[in-house]
Amino acid sequence: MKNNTNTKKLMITCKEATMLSVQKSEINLSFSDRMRLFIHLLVCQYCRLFDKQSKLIDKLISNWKADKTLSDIDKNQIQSIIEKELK
Amino acid sequence: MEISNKLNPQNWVAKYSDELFGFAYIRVSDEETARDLIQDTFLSALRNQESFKGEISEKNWLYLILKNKIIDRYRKNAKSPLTRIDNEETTDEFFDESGHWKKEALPSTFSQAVNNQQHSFEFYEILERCKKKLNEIQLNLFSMKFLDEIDSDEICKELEISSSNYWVLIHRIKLKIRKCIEKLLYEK
Repeated sequence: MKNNTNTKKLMITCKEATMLSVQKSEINLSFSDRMRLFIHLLVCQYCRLFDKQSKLIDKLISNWKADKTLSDIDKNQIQSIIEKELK
Repeated sequence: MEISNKLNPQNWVAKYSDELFGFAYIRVSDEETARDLIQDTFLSALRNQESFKGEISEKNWLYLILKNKIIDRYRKNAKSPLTRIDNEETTDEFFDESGHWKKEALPSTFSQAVNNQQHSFEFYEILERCKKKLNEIQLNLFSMKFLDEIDSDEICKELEISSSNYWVLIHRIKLKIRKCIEKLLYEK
């Protein structure tokens, strides 16, 4: 996995840190990237907040159930299409 | 008309249409499209009844068909020239040249408690509105990654995008959605 971070530097920018934060929910970051992110989050309250909220958002999205229902007109229409097909 | 393998097409609409519709709706963000997907799903199911072997429930079988239809739609959308990936964004609305947060983009605490203990209706209503601000390709990616939880390799293959493109897009979607939620919670 290619990250945008330079392989040598320890301090990363907020842009890079938020990218790593997004990536870590899905892929295993390299040890050095984990360190970079860890250090950045220690010193940057904004990215720390982003990281926290981002995790919360992921969790909430995965529990998302729509409360939308199909209208009766649509239901009747689809029902009659099915009936026709069954004949 | 009697089917040997326990399928009951007559009852599909009454039993499953609302649930399937909700599932489709949060993925395509459009009632008309979601409705058509449900109709297509039932028709495909009717015409392929012999593929139902009773190994999974009738309901899960219908879900499977619907999921395939939704993935087909993602794929088709990705190929449409109108929704080609706009990776080269001229201005970054979140970060300055040196990669630091722009002042107006700085994250702030959500003004209302949002928690995952209770299904907060307000949060989902907000999420719905924020999702509508995404463009077509972002919406596809959002659904595939966050709702369907398909892994990135699979998504890149389906949408024919590179892994670095993928992350740039996901990064931006996340920044956008977070910002939008923060803003709408504040306005509530």
